[in-house]
Amino acid sequence: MTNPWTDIKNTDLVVIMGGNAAEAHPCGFKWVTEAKANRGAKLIVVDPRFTRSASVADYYAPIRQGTDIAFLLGVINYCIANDKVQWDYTRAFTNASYLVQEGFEYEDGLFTGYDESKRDYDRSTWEYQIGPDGYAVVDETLQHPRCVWSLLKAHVAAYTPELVERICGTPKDKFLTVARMISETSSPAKAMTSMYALGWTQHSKGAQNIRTMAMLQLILGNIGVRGGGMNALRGHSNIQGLTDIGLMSNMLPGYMNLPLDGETTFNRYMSTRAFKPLRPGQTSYWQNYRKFFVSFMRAMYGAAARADNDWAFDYLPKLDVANYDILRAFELMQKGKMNLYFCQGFNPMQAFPNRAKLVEGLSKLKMLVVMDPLQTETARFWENHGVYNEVNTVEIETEVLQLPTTCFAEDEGSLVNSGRWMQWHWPGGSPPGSARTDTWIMAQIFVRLRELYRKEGGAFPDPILNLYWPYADAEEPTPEELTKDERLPRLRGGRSR
Amino acid sequence: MTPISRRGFLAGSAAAAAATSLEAFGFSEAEAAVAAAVKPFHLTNTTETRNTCTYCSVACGIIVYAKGDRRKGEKADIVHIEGDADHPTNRGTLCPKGAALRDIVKSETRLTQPMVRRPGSDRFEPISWDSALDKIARALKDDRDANFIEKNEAGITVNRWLTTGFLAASATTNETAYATYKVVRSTGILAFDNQARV
Amino acid sequence: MNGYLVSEVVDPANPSRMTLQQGKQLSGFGEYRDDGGVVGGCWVYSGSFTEAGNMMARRDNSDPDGAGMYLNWTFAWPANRRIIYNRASCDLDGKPWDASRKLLEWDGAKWTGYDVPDISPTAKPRDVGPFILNAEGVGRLFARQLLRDGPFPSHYEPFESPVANLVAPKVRGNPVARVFEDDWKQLADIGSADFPYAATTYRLTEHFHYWTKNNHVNSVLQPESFVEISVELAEEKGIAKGDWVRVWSKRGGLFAKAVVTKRIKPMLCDGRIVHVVGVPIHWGFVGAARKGFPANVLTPFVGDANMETPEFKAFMVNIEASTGPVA
Repeated sequence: MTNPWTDIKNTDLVVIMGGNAAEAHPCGFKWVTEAKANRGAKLIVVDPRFTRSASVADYYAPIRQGTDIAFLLGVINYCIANDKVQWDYTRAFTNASYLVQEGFEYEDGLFTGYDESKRDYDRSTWEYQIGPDGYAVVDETLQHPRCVWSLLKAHVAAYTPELVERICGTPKDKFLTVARMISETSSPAKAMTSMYALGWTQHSKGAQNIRTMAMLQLILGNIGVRGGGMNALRGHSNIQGLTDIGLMSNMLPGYMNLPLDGETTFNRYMSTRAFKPLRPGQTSYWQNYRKFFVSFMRAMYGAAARADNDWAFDYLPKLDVANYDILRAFELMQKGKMNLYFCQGFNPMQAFPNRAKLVEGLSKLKMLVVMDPLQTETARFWENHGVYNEVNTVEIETEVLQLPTTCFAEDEGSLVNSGRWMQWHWPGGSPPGSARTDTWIMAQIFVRLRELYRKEGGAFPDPILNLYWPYADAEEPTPEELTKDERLPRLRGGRSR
Repeated sequence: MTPISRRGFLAGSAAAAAATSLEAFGFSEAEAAVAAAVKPFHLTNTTETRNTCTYCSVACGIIVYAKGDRRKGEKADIVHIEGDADHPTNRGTLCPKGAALRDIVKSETRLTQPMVRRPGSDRFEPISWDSALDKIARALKDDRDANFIEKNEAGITVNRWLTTGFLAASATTNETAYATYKVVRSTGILAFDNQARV
Repeated sequence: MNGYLVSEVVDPANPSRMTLQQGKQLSGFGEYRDDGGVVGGCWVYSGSFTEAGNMMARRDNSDPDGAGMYLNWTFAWPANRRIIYNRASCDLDGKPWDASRKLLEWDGAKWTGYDVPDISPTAKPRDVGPFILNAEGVGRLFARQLLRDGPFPSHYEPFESPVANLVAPKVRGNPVARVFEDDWKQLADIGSADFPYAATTYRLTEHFHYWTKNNHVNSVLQPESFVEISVELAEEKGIAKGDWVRVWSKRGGLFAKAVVTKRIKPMLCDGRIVHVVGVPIHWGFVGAARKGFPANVLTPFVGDANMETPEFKAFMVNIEASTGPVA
């Protein structure tokens, strides 16, 4: 979310599309109710189903699933055609005036540079024209045929209300009502908020679904203001935090990313990440990329990350493909190329697509380790449950370790909500039986693995032997030690200070 | 109101003292009997701890009530969870999932001890923490040593490990996530992901 | 993760150990350094645990003028900023676009208001653009090379779809989304008569993913798996409310009870009637609820072209009346 939950009360128009906040985020949806009751705000819901969000909406329009981009490009087209644009904002705060390179085109659903055999683009023409001063060339009148605004106008022109109806199944009059209501928020005195969730992300073009609404919000001047914004209603209590800390195949903490194979040195890696302002005097968080990266490497590898070894740059694994995401992981598993797999509080046998393929993959592992407070199907994928899980148990050779963990009420630390609030919480109860925290389990695994490498040597032990692990008790760092990257004195009961 | 025989009802329970003192304040016998019949408030003598709902990312504030105090090193048994009225977002409200939080903490399908399912077996068997963790460390070491890729075909240092994967959680704390990140990344595992993608 | 200032002295006797002398937690990421003088695991969290204490534990719920920002309640990254890009709430000269909804204001020397400015507090209004995550300082209507599938969005059908792409008839799905070889074979053809109904998956308000089926209360509220179909489709297929149905895709099938509802209506897309089949996701074979099928027995193994998030929301199935599962 660009804005906090509590800010929704400041809006004039809520658009719920790609989500169903009344049912999936009920206590957050309360702020929609506040805006309706206290400001006279309106609520629009666009969804294939008449959901409970729709049941309290001022206007509902149906849409066929997977066609949101056509609908929203139709709304952008409507706003441009009807002069419903916040012009001062669009001119000054978007790249509408920037000139795009000659050679960039769009035709028959494809942009310049498509290579069908690779299912990928050569994206080199998708860039601004850069002037002799090194900055992007702009035309503030928005008249130049190569400026972003001219290209955008041409790109969306095809998405007429008639075409929207044919693609989306949304009757033309309903589409036009929604478009008109949205377009009214182009007034500087009106704000609209977009609330979306998995209904936009879980598509083969999920990122573009969200982007299309972001573009609409930009030309209406609704980003950065109270009651506005692009508000992703995230699904799990700390999914935002795990994303921030970079627990993804290609990420480093703080939205930095891993090097690719070709990036053989730190300088080469930095050459594509160093901040180059595209307009005179522009500043950015990313002008600090080197500082963020070096400080992260010091937190990872302590004294072993030094200026003379490129801050232990070689300790980081390099990517030969863009991602080793969950789908690739299970593809590798099903092809017999994965031996060990860990699931920490995660039930992929239910959560990932094509369960038959998942079970086939899990059955080819040597070992599966599941850490969870609860029983999961994943930990029991080898159990025959008749029609519900038809497997041949004796033929499944996977060894499964199921480790009991604490739950939220039994541990301490911070969680990041959708609005980026980092809220600390404290343990209220004792864990059942011999359940332990995930941190304890990870520390135990690490300390034992490090010990094996100390004793036996082995493949490139350096990053494991040198992992910065300064905690007073190496076998159980405290939450405060972890968040502060420090060793702290312990009190009775293991708590810091 | 149906009169209740006070004598028959109380039979020497701790509530008797309370009822007697109520009488001293001028309550009638019937009223005192009703007061005595009311169950003692179940949150009396509990510790209150601030926490956050474990489900969606609205992150409603909650208060956890337990018999016993962990801060004093006691075993704490959670008896009740409710919305935190001071919290700016939820202001004390909870949804049907949040309102039933105590029952997920107390679920009959909570895991309580490490278990192993051996190859081909049709059941889980208990295993000690030490044995389970040693087994895991050994399996990691052996697989990493056998399959770690120091250089790619072009001779470039890549230091990656592709035959082991790790799926991180989505409701653990930042601090757990960070400890997990450090441990997993330092081994060179690339198939590392979390619930953000699903 | 906050960031910690270390001395640059390394213990010569034990190079694996950093000598932490007189360290201080930083007050923000502006103090990060590229000379190794800072240990800081996650710069966006800088300022969350400073020498003044644990900012994430703050519990002051005051909200000046009811702006809704709650600056003293816990901490928001980055830098305790509650609305990002908030400089864009003002016009070019730093006046709020809407005075009744002021968030920030340029007072001639600095930015003041209800939020932490998302820009240097003394940067003059016309000097720096508000979108400081971008090298342009402005929001991008044209995304340059940053997304794999185009600098502008374009309509693409799901990989399984009842109709061809009207804008680009030759393009199947998202033209750059990754599909593994074996998975192509498990995708239904566009407009396939074998899989004529457009399915989607979703959650119920009484359940959280696959967790709350372990919870007695939630399992009582929603004990059993079901699918939702329109009155029209139910009539066409001879399905009554509460009947068992079988639903199947090219990847697998499930049995569930039918909820026949007016909440779902057939849609007319380019002259073709499209029926929707709704599949809640929550059931499995462990927990307190009745055993049931999760939605992912049906869903396709293809993801978003940029993030690889699976296409759970749009795929094709068939449905028929059934006598239910034989255990």
